[in-house]
Amino acid sequence: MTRLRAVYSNAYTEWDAVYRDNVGWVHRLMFAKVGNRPDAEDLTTEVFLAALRPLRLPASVGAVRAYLLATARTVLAGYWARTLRVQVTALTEDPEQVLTAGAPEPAAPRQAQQILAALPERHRQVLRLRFLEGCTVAEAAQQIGISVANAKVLQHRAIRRAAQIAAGLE
Amino acid sequence: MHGISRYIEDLITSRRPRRFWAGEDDAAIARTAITLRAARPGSGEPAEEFVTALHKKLAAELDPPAARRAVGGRRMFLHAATAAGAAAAGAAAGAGVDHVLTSRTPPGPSPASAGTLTPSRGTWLTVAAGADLPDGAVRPFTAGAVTGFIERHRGQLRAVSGICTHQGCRLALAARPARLVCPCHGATFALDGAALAHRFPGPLAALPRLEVREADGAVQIYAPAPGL
Repeated sequence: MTRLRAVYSNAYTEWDAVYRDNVGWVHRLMFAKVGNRPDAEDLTTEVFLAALRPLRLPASVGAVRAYLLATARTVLAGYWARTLRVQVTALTEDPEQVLTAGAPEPAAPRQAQQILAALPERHRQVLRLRFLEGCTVAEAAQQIGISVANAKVLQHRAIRRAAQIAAGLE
Repeated sequence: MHGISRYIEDLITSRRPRRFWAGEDDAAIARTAITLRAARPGSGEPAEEFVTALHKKLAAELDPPAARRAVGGRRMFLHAATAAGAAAAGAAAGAGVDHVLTSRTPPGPSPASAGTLTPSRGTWLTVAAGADLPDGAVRPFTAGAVTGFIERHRGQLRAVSGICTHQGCRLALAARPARLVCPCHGATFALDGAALAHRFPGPLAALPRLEVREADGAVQIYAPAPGL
């Protein structure tokens, strides 16, 4: 009895459950790869529209997640091809791992902390204020105690430095 | 240069980033900017309105009657010909179901009913002896230009055409439960003519019914008169 129940609770029988259970992580993953909400929403929509119709149910939770992840990977690659024409980010999460380890969660916060930690103090400060706290250039300049023009230059240098550090971390 | 700066400002101010022609350097910077932006606490959580709106959109795509449009693979679903069965099939049609059977309550007409075949120049033709058709029995018959199946169902006689409404193949009688099955594409009909299961996009028309009567111990079908 317990065993049967366990097997059953590990499968999806309706698209509705597939959607409700997975829309969160698909959106978070997409946001981590495109960094903005309008695109993350469009891509999440694209994933579910493409994935749900051919989906055969019942199917195990792990298999469905691996399938959604594979679909998301294709959708993201298409997004970069039609926007910046460079593959800026990719979904490198392993679908095999999803089968056993559960829904993937974005690594962006951890990566961001690693990048920030490796930066000189002022660079870290300007990037944290602008990207993580959402300050305007003027607000950031005021907090750091520099002019707006200097804040712009500082941010420009900081993001380049950060990109170099990120490349080294990969 | 201008492109990537504007791209970064769009990310920071939570707008959809405007496109630009990006080089490899730009890609590395954009990637880092995205990583930093995505680390803003709570930023990746989907908005509730978005989740609701997408659910609605998917339901319109996946739930009946949209699910009746066959897309993707081919599978067949058999279902009991009851109103409850039709409702359940509709509800379950969301996911792996490519298309759904048309089903109906016996003895009402099917939604895709072809009605009763009434030839403009018809005559009553005997197709069986009443005694050969006890309650529950089904017999194939040919009456002039018409072939079909006749059944005595709860004491009432009923007859349907034996030609599949898809592409005109002759149906075969399958026993237990009694069904009419098309050898060409596997469409299945109930003995009242309702299409029960098929693998085609859209609804499949029910089998035309035939007028039937019992006269002087003979079961007769109203069919086209022989000759022209």
